[in-house]
Amino acid sequence: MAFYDLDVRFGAKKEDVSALGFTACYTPHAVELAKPGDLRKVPANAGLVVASSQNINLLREATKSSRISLLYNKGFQADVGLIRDAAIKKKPFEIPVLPFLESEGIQRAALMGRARFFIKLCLKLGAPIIIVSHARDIYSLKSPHELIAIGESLGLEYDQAKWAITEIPEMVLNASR
Amino acid sequence: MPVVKPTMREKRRYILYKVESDAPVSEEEVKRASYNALLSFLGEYGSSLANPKFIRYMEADRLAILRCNHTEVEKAKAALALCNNIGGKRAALRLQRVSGTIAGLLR
Repeated sequence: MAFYDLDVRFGAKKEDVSALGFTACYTPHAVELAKPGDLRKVPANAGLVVASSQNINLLREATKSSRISLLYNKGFQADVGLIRDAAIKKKPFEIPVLPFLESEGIQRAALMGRARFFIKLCLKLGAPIIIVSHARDIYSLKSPHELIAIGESLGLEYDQAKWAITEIPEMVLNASR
Repeated sequence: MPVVKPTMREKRRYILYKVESDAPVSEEEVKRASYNALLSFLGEYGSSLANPKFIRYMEADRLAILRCNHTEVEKAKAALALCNNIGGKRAALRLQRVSGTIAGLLR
């Protein structure tokens, strides 16, 4: 079984990655969508591209772009239109672990609550999701078993959580090649 | 001594995890960090269901063992994975394996 982390934000050493149990980790081209023109700045053939935004309309535009591989809905705002678009275009949403790792107390609880509801809608409407670490150093890079356990605490079944770090990343990688 | 039929007793799981940190950490710090991680993630009610007990810390290998209820093992794993500092030092608790016995963990 091949495990992937598609969004690691530092240059992880290959031996560290394989020691944790991953087949491979990737650092995608990250695009922050703040205004409508930002989507045009994505270079062609950029490979793996993740579009992140808090603006639902910009993310909906990003679902239509063939250059975008992954979507990151910052703050996990539940918008049925966006999730339905992502389901139709088969664009997966990232569920990063780092925001949960860096927050604590009621902030973490609220964030996890929003993520749980967002994931529930994704499952209901058929939008794919992938669990990523967004790791900035070796301490925030989590092993596949840890990602599955965190996925389960966010309302996924074991198989769904496993699917989110094996099969779906593989489909994204094949599509972005 | 209270007598409970084997089928009625609480089923336990032992979680083996590695402590990763640049600075050396003591058993007391690992124990406190593990309990705090569980309490912070699961809350008092969730922790009472998990019924955690820190078993030991093997300083030479930097391995620690925590016992919890078998129904809450996935939540306990998530709680430990979300721990990012021990005694104020940057650290990570890396899950190694889960077993029903300590002997099984160390085999």
